Amino acid sequence: MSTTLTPLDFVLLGLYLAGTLGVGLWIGRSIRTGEDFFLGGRKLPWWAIGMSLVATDIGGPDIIGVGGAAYDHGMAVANFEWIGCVPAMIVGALVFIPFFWRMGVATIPEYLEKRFDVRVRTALSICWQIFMACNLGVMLLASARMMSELFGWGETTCILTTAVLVGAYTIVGGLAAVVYTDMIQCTVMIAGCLGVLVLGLVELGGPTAFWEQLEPSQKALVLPVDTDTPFPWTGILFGLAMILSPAYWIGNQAIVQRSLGAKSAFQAQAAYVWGAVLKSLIPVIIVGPGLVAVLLYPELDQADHAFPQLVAGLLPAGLRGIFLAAFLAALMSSVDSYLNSASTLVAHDIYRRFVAPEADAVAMLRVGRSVTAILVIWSIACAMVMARLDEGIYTIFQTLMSFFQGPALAVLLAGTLWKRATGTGALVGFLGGLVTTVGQFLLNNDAVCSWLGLRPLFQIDEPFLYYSIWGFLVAGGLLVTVSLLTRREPDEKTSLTVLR
Amino acid sequence: MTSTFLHDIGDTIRNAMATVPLSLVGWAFVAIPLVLLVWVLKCPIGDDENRDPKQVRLLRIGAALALVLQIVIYGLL
Repeated sequence: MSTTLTPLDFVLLGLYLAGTLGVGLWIGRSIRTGEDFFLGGRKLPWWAIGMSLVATDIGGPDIIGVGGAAYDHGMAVANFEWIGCVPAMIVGALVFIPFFWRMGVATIPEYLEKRFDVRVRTALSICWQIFMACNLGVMLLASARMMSELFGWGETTCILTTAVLVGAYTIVGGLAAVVYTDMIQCTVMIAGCLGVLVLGLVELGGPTAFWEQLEPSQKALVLPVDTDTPFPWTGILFGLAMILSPAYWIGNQAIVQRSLGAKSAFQAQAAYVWGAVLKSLIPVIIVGPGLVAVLLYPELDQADHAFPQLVAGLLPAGLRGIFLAAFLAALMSSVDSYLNSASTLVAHDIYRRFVAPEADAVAMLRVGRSVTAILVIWSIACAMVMARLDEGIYTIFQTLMSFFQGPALAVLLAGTLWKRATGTGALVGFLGGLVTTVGQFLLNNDAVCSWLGLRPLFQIDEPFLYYSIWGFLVAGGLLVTVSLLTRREPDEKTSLTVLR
Repeated sequence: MTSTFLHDIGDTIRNAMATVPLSLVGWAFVAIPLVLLVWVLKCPIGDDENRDPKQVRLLRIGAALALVLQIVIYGLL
C-alpha cells in the first residue's frame, strides 16, 4: 500500500506546516501571563472556538479509526458524531458552559473543589491528567502508523516530528495558539477528507450509485442488541448519548477549556452551538470514506487500512500532500489541545493548589510552558510503548475514556444539579464507579476470564459503552446514598449549582 | 465457563432490551433531538440581566438548526 510523494506534495505539506507553525509562534509573542497562556487572555471569539472544538474532537485516531469502524460496522459509527455529540453540545451551551464561564474557573476540577472539596478536585484532576497523557501517546501513534503505512516512513521519525512541531507552537502560544491553529486545521482537515470522499464517489459512479451498492446493514444507524459490532442501540443510546457524550462535552477539560477562554458567556455559548452545527456535517467526511472503501476495497486485511488505501489508490500526486496535511491537521489540533489542557490541570490543580499557592501570573506562565515541554517528551515515550499493543487505535482511545467518564459525569451532574450532594458522597461515588469500570474491564478480558474459569461479562466486542453506563450508575447510586448519610454542605457550596 | 450473578443481571437486561422493536428505538433517536428542540425554543436563556435579546435569539436559532439537522438525519436514515 505504500506510496510515494511527489515534490508538489512536499511543497503543499511544507506550506501547511510552516503556516501553522508561523501562526502559532506569532500568537505566542503576545503571551505575558498564565491567564494568557491557559485561557487565551479570555479574549477568544466564538467562531474560532467553535471550529477548534470540532478540530480537537476529530483527531488522527478518528480519521483512521472512524473510517476503519465504518469499513467494519457501517454507518452506525456516525452516531458518535450525531446523537453522540449534538444533543450534549446544545445542553452544554445553554446550561453548563455559561455557568462555568461565569464562575471564572480555569479547570473543571477547580469548580469541583469550590462545590465539594479538594479531595474530589484532586481525584478527578489526576484521572484526567493520566487520561490525557495516555491519549497523547495514542494520537501520536495513530499518526505514525498512518504515515508509515502510506509513505514507508519510520514510526519513530513520524512520532518525533509531529510531537516537536506541535510542542513548539503550543509551548510558545498556549491556548490562543491552539485555538487559532485549530481553525486552520479544521478547514484543511475538512477539505482533505472531502477530497478523498468526492474522488471515491466519482470512482463508484456518484452518490446515488454508492448508496445503492451499500448493504442495508451498512446503512443502519440503529443496530440490534445482539449485533456483532460494538455499537448496539443500547450502548449508543444509554452509554454514548446519555453518558459519554455529556461527560465529554461538559466535563472534558480539553473541550471546555477553550470556552472558558471566550470573551463573554454568550461567546462561549455561541461557540458550542456553532460547533454543534458543524458536527452534523462531520460524519459525511470521515464515515463516508470508510463506506466508500468497503465497496472499492472489500478485501482489506485490517479495517484501519481503509483510509490509507483510499489515499494510495485514489489520490493523484499533489492531492496526497493535501490529504497528508489534512491528516496532520486533525492530529495536531487534538494533540495541541490535550497538551495545553493537561498542562493547565497540572499547573492549576497540582502546582498552584499544593506547591505554590501564591504563584503569580508570570510564574504560572513559566510552569505552564515547562509542563507542556515535559508532556511532549512523555507523549513521545508513551507512543513508543503503545506501539506494541495489538488493538485498534480507536478502541484503545474509547476504552481509556470509558473507565472514568461515567463516574466523572455522575459527580459533575450531582455537583451542578443537586444541592444535597456532599464531598464525601462525590468522592466515594467517583472511586466506586472507577472500581466498577476497571473491574468490568478485567472480567471481560480473555486472559482473566480464562484464569477464573468465567465467561466474559459482556457478549459484544469492545463493550466500552457499557462500561460507562455501569460506571455512571454505580457512581450515582453511591453518591446519593453516601450524601444522604453525611452532613449537608454549607450554603456557600450548595449555592454553586446551576439550579437557583 | 461458569457465570456469576453479574452475568445473570446482564443477561436479564439484555434479554429485556432485545424485546424492544428496533422501529421503536429508531423513533427514540428522533425523539431526543425533537424534545430538545422544544426545550430550546422555550427555555429561559436570558436569565443574565445584561443579556441582549438579539443574542438570545441567535442562540435559539443556531441550536434549533443543529437539532433540526439531527431530526432530519435520524428521520431519514
